[in-house]
Amino acid sequence: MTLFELLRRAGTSVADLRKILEHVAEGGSDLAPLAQEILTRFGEDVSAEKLAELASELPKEILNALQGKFDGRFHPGGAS
Amino acid sequence: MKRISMLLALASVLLILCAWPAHAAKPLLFGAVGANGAWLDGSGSQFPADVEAHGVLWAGVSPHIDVGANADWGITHSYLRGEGWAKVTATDTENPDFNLYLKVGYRGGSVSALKPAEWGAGAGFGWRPMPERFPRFLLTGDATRGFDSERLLATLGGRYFFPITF
Repeated sequence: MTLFELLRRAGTSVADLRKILEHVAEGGSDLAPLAQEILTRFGEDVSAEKLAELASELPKEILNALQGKFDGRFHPGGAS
Repeated sequence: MKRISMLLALASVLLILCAWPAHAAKPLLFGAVGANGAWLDGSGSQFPADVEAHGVLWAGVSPHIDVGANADWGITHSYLRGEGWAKVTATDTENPDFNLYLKVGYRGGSVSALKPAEWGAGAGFGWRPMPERFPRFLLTGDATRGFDSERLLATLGGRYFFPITF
């Protein structure tokens, strides 16, 4: 699954992705430096094109972190 | 039946307490709007069936627990009802497309069938039937029994959900 497929599945916007990366970067986990690097690298200009470029470069760990962007905390039953 | 409701509530509370995160992460917030078919059982229920407009805000506080509140407007019988609740997911928490849950909540409303406000317990589901094509469209169902009135309120609905970020 590509990052875009992933984001589309999660209904995620580019702005949301930025927040996810910021959250990971501030989280202090092993992935924090990498998330920070991605944020620094793309700065404020996180466009869809650059995300497509990024998707091909992301290591599996980041993809997993993004896939769990809601940390298992999105449940569709919350909307009932 | 009241005993079943109480046991359901007790099970929900115990599960919520057990699953409450030891290290509280920042809650993830969501909102949704949609429509329900609603059914309220019991004599003098005033709206044995209605179509409702629905709005809900909730927070995912852990992989198992959601807390939130919803408001519903009965279109045919012109009533407003609301509920604050906590739900514990009983199925795979990593599945963003389907879950079953147990719930405890405090509910009330603008018509006598929904008064006085009361605690209740229930169960329900959420389903994202087409995550690829319509990632923000959900189908939901819920059935909650009030402890005092012993009225069962059941809903089936469609939702459009959105994450809320600050």
